[in-house]
Amino acid sequence: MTPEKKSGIISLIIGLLGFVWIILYLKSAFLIYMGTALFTPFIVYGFGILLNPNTRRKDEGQIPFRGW
Amino acid sequence: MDAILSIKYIIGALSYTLYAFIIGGLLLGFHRKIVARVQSRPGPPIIQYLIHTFKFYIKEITFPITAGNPLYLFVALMDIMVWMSALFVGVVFESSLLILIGLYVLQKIVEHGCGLSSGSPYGKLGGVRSVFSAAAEVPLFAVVGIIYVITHSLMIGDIINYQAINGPILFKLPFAAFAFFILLVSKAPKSPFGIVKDKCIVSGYLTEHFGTLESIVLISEAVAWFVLLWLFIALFIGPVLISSPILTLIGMVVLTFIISMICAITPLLTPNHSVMLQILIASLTVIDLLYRVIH
Repeated sequence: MTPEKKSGIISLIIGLLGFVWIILYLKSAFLIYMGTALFTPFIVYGFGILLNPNTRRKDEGQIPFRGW
Repeated sequence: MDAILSIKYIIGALSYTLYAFIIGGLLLGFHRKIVARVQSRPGPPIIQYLIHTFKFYIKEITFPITAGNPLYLFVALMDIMVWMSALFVGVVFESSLLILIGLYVLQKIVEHGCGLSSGSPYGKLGGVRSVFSAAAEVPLFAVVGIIYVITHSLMIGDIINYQAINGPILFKLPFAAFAFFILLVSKAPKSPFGIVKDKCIVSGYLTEHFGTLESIVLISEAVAWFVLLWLFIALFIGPVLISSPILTLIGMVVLTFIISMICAITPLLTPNHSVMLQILIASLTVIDLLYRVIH
């Protein structure tokens, strides 16, 4: 598994656990809104990584130029 | 029963965010269109910003070998956290302006973090320029001070109520409104103060954030544009426009049009000129604040 896909799955797990925590333990409307702001990006990123197309390169996760 | 209420609040929060993203994205598309028309180009369709966001969302990403993870990844997520929080604190709960300033400062951390965590020299330069452009926030602090002197409250709800009784603050504090307007111009794409995303440093702090991560940053910038325009209308024009969503939207379109015209006809300032101009406006706003405190 590439580090990108791993980060996406970890994000998705953090996001889902966060939402479960919000639903079960938070009572105030303000805190629920803030909790949603905190955990939605994890879901958005994790879902985006799952939608990434399969790479056609030989070595998954490797691009020819990897920066400086 | 509590769980059902919590789910309702979560759906409400996500709906607000989607609304802010779509409106902000369309306004930024409109901004691009106006800039193009002023420069005698047909320009992309108004929905281009939204199309870009969806396109990048399903593009493959790779972490650069120089990227400092998890910061490289987390700062992009933090960008949405910051602007969603600003949306809820400002627009939904009409809460304290001080929290919004705190969130605006967090946005600077996002810009530094994006640039410096990527390891790219362009990103680093973008991050460093972001430090300079913190000068744009100084007028914001002074504006908040002036508004407090007049309204004796920093709660957005109280400021809107004050305007319901005493009329728009825009006519009482034209200089403060101008200083806040400069902040809006600074935040706009292709702005004369946009040294952070100058084309000579590729895309500035966003150079190494591509694919899904870029899409996430685009989502947060659309929400940010919505929040900043709403804040300007709420703080300086008040319930005349803010009480009706349609009038608020019309106000946002007019503001975006004015800002687009400014962006289209002004060249990008060099970093030192940009900072000098912003510091000058900040100094004048602080003098205005001191004058109002003394008298």
